[in-house]
Amino acid sequence: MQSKQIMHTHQPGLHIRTKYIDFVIMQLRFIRAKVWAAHLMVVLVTVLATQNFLLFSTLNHLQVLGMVSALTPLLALASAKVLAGSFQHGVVELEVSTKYSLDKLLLARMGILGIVDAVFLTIMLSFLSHRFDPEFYVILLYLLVPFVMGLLGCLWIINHTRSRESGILLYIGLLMLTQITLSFQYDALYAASATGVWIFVLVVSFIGLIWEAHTMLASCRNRNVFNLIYS
Amino acid sequence: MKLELNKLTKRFSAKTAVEDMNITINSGVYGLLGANGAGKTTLMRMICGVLAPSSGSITLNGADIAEMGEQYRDLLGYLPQNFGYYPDFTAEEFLLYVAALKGIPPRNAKLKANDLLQTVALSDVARKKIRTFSGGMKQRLGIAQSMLNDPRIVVLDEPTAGLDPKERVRFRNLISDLAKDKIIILSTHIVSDVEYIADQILVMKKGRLLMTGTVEELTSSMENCVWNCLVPAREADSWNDKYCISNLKHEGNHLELRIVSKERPLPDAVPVAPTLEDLYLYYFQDESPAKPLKGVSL
Repeated sequence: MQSKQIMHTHQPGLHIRTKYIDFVIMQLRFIRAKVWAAHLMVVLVTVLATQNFLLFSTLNHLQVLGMVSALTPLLALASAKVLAGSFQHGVVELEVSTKYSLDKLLLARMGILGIVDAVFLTIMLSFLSHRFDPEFYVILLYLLVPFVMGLLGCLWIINHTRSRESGILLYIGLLMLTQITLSFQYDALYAASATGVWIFVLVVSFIGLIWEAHTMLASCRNRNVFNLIYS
Repeated sequence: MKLELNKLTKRFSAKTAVEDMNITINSGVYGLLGANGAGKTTLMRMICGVLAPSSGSITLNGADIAEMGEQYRDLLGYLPQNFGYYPDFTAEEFLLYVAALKGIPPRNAKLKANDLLQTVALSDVARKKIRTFSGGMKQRLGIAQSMLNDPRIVVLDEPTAGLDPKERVRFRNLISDLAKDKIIILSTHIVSDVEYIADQILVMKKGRLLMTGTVEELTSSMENCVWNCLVPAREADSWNDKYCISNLKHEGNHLELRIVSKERPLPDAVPVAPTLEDLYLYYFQDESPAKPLKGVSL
């Protein structure tokens, strides 16, 4: 190692520090391309579904809607894997000790991924609402409910278990399978009379999601990360 | 700059990992020595704010580090014992990532990252993914990230793990160069890592500070307590049971033993200058509470 090298490098402004908003923006470059690829894939399948492409041409409208709705947990999975990354790869201990500590890092990631997920869900919604009969807000429910349930389950697994990678994969897989199966067996799931149930599930899931997000951030702030270290 | 640990204690359920630690740390290099389970990593995690103490406090120039928060962490460089990384990141990307966490603007971060990669001899592999690195390369990357923000307090937990002897010597030189006006605390099992560069040695056992001092002060406490003697090879086990053996060398049918003992073990045993390793082996030969050598004060 050339120890003298670092003693003599002149770097003006070495002690300047970034603002939090700049830190948040910088996090964009550290989210891997495969996360965006997963989001694009879900939107692509949505587009294919609305154009009656391949398999989708054999299904009725409600079944197509159900299939696309069942894809939204994949967006949740891609986002959850980013949030779980610190715990999965044992970087928590390092990230807790830096200026922008783990809670601020996770908050930044949640903010970025939240905005990105909202954009992609909006794109899906615009394609579906042009193609299918249900009202705009009903289709929004069909997209949001499985997405929020997916995210809630993933955060619960990250916060309370050590089998994070396998746990969230298994959970999302089961969630998608369940919804697809129900979609094909029960048309009534997407009837107007069921809208109230969808709203109820959304509200409960959203409250649960806020709670788990709060739990995650609070654990980091309270420096009780010992139990979260190492999966 | 003064870091003070005041009655610092950390308990996990039934186990007390660090107990009633009181110490003042000024600028310089501090070597933290202790066996596995002595509480070194727990202590370092508390100093870095990774763990909250069960009781007691840590202050920097009189201010509680828990209350200082971000301001304290801005002064800190930390290499954890289990250094984690994102395997898909290249070495350069990882340093830029950590630099962002430390609040370093991108332009400065790039310059500093390139400097540090050169310092730890990883420039050639800067664009390679960390998962392709050897253990020693990962450790060097870990050392580099701890220096990104020119920290005033550097905490390195087992920094030489996985480094070959040549790299360990370079690491010692790096630390010696950086030590001016900084607090550097490094923990290790390898006594030679700290013997030549540490200004003060802190010896921990079962969560408590056993002794503290310069290498000379600690080893002088064992003057006339370390002996070289020659014994028949067949008696190896019995000598091992009776005395603390800090080194053993085969000489034909005999064994040359280096023994730590207040009393001369054999009439023809020759007293030798004690080393820090003798002291370490004596106090950590088993997990029973250490009994001071007779007539030796700590």
